[in-house]
Amino acid sequence: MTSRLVEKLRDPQYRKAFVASQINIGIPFQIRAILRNRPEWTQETLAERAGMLQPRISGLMKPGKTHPNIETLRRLAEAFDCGLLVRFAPFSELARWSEDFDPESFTVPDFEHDPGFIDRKPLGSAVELGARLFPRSEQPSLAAAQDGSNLSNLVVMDRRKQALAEQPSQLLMSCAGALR
Amino acid sequence: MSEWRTPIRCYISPAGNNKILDWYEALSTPEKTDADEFLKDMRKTSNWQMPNYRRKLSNVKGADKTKVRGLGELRWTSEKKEHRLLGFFGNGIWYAVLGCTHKQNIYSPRDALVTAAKRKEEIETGKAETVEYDL
Repeated sequence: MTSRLVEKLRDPQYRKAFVASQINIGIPFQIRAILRNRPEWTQETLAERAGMLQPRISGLMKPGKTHPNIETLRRLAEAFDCGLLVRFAPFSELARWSEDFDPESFTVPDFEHDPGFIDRKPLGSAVELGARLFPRSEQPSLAAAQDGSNLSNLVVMDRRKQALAEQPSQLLMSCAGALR
Repeated sequence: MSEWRTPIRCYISPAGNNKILDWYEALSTPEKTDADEFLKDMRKTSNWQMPNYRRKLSNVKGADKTKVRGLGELRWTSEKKEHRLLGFFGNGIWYAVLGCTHKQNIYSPRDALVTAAKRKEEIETGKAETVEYDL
């Protein structure tokens, strides 16, 4: 955090206004950055998905033009298919976030492209599960399992024990059935 | 960010006054925090575009097209007022020469464009100094 910002935040009036500026000025930069990373989206696309009119979206993208409330932000998050964090935080954290925010690299993936979920998508079949848990280079261990090892042995054998353990139990059952 | 993608420098009058600092100091506290947030994010942006930046002021009603050539304006709203910071680009740096407000196609102060053009010329001819924007 810059020493100048620290100095400014010592003023209670500045602190009070600083929070509002993060919303009124900061949100338009975030919306613009998200749209930049979704080139197929127009303001009309976002308006339609958020259940708003295009001029309202245009206003939300102009710094300070509108003062979006939580419901508006929630609808935008729903349209972007992403989450929305609203929580109380110390000023140091808010100031650091503001200073670290980069309008050119900021992006928020939708659920389909969320890296935290890509590896946890449900699989359609036991074959797909096996292919994912055991890439081609590791398939001998799968072959060994098909030669009579039960699923518990397979789990112990493989380095991907943890990944396997995280799969839904019904898929494991399905996999075990296919291997028998 | 340690280095800005678009650095801003402020006009210093021949008498030695930082006119951008004067403008900033005259703002209310909410206007200051909005200006701080807006200018911080603009300095982190390499390609300034509408609606945040208007590149040409030659089509502004009443503007002398030859005098305002090269001038642009940063645009944001704060406390229900349209704020403008007039300036120009030179070697990847944006030189801020005048802060003002704008309502129904009229700048306040009214002579904002004329003054901005004069200050731009002073910088370009070496009659006026500039200092890094660090408010």
